[in-house]
Amino acid sequence: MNDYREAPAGRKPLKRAYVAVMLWFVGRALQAAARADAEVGREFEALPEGFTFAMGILPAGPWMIVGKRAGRIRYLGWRPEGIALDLTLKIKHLEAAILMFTFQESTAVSTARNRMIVDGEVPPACAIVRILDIVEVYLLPKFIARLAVKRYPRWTWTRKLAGRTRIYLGAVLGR
Amino acid sequence: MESPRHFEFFCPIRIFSGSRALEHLPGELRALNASRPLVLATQGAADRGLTRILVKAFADSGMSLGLHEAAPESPDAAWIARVKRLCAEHRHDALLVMGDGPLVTAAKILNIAVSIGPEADLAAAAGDNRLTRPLMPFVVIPTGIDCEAVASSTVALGPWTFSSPALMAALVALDPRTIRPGDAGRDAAALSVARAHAARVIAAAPRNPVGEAYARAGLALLDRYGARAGKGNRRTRWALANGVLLAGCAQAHADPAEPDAAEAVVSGDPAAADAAPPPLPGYFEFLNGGRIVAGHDALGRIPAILAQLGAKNPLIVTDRGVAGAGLIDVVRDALRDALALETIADDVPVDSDLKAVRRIAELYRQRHCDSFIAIGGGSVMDTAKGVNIVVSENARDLMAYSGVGAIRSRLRPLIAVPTTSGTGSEVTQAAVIKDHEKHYKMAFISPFLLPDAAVLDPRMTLTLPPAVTAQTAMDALTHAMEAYTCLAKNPLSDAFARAAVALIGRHLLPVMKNPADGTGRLALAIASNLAGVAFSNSMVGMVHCLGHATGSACGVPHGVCMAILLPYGLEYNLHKTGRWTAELLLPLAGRTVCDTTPPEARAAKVIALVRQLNQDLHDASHGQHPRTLKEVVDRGLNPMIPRERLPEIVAAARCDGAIFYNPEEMDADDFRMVLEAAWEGVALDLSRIRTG
Repeated sequence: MNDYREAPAGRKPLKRAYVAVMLWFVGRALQAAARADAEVGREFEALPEGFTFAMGILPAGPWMIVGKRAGRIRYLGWRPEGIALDLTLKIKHLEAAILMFTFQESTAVSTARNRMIVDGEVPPACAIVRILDIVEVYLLPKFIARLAVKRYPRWTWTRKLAGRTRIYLGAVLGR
Repeated sequence: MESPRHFEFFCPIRIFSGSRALEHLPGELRALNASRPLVLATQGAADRGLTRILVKAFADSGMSLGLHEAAPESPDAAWIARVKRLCAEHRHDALLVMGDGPLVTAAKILNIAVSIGPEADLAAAAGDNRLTRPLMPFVVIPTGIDCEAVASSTVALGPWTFSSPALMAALVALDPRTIRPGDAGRDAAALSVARAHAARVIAAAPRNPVGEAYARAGLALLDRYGARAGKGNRRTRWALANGVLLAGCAQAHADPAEPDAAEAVVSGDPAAADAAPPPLPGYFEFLNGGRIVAGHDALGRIPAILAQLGAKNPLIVTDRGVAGAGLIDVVRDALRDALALETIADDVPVDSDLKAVRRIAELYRQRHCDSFIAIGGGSVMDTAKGVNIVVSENARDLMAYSGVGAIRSRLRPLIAVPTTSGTGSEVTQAAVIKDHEKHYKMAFISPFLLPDAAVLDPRMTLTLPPAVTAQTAMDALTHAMEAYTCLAKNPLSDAFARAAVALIGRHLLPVMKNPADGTGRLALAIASNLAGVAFSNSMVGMVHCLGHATGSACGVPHGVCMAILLPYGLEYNLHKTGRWTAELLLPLAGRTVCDTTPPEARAAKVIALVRQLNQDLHDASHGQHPRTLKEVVDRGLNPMIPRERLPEIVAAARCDGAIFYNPEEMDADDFRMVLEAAWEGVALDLSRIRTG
């Protein structure tokens, strides 16, 4: 039949690269925020030792893996293979991730629109979402962060400035 | 407005509608075990670049698409035979149809032909419900406004007519990028026909509340966006396609009124005129997957439904409370000789339990059962769903099927007969099973968990005590109101929610005063079902979050928490969702109250009316229905929620996922503020609610 052809699934390398960089940076920012912000520290402290979670895009990544090791929060890279995950936040496809990481859709709206699946226990998922919201407020200027979170927090400027500086430095330097 | 008496509705189409809807398809196909889809598109669709958009949407999915881009506008039997060979040759396991009308119809017949084999068998499959083999996953991607054919469960080819629910599209992806302008005259005609279809379903007597919800949602979209049809942009066309689709679903599955009767709806039915003009969300999904059967003798339909599902030896799953109340006997009497209830598991615990699931699964196997009838409340439904997973998947470890989408094939037939009018669990896609030994809860979420049928019969709720009637109805009201006001709301779930609110607003207090009111009991059962459909698609928010926490910390019945906390949830979110709350005044209180309340005062009026409803239920139940958290007492009249336990509830609320869907953020201070007000029974101080 000459009116038939196969169309192999293509790739979107630029979008994948953008999302991979964002996940890499957020992962390292989480690691830094655990030490730079008391509220984030308390949230992570409540999670059990060895707790590991991943956030990534279905079906084949990229991923961000973060875990609690020896009492400290560590960014564990972008390959989930061989790592036992307690919680996985799965974004259903790359375009949904782009909507989220270009702040066209907040995490809450993305969840409400069924673009993200939470796989694992709900209590730690709630904690991780709270942590991600805090980190977004640190990382983003207010006019963008307001698109990403439901309510922009009323923090003192010292908390915002000191935290932002430490988290950006920590994320860049990997500490 | 007339109360609903008897109706059935079945339209298990999953709707994916909005921005990037196409990108959801690879994941959904994978969940249906399909990985080699064949795309059928007309040359026109290919020329307009629509297949290219689809191929791009599958990028990074690992799936390759077979593209047949020369489907004729009106395919014939020869085309079906050719494409059937193509499917076999390339081992395609799903059909994606980009088009409408005749192409969709032909693709449905093609699906039958592929699934059942040689053409000789096609004749054997003709007729009503004679399709015995499963069809391939079937996805329709409308390319224009005229997409009514999607919903039809009847197709014709030459002398044969095929009629089966299996012929409805499994998925419809309404993506604004693919809905292109068509011939102006044809589009105008499609809108006119859709509007007439919706109006006839709304005007039908006896009413079909589910069909009516589809019709009202469709008509509201057509009314709001129809004026701009000719010069509309991509979003307008998408909205209109939604309207046409919903009108088509209503028309295909609910008996319509005569055209004359529908004139009133088009030309000024107050409810239609006041139906919420729905601003559409960027994207939404919707599934109302099970058959809904309601009526004063709905139980009598069970044998026929089971036969249609190919089952004849059901296992009855229930609990001792239901059995003790004589409800199994009610079912037995209703079924008479048509079906013997031979195998009964009546030991479902109050909380669904893994051990009970294993025990009942063993009984199912021993007795060679082939289906389930779950009679009871949420725990019974969840347990039956859990047993169904075990026996259908032959599962040794139920945990392997927990989470989202782990179940990938149809389960055994399950008919749900709710005995309360509140939980809506007869129409949800979820089950929660607790492992009491290891102290954890497993959540299972899958469209395959939807019961095949929900049977709503007022005889099953006639004996509910007044306090239980009150709390379960308030649970349903909360489902509806939170579905209407939380983040995942969409036009169709809104229509279900409004219908539920209207039925509860009208029938709850009369039923409290006259518990034997069968018409009112049926209306409440239907309302609970409608609210269940609404919230299982739009989810719930802070009222459920705090309610779950209060229930788990202090053992308070869920409906009681809902009743007390509902006005606080509406109040807390008022600055973000006041508009939606205000729109609920009409269904809750009726036209007179709505018309005499200024628009800016309607949201506050709704909150006041919910509080008044709690007061009226308190009076009607002789004080058994509590109005505040401090009034909640156990059987020994001891307070169940001492004030000092509020911090415990706050801690539990921070761990509840319902908060994801709440419009406003809540931290521990916010939870505490709301709980303290609800404990005292005072309104929230709106100036203390933080915004930002």
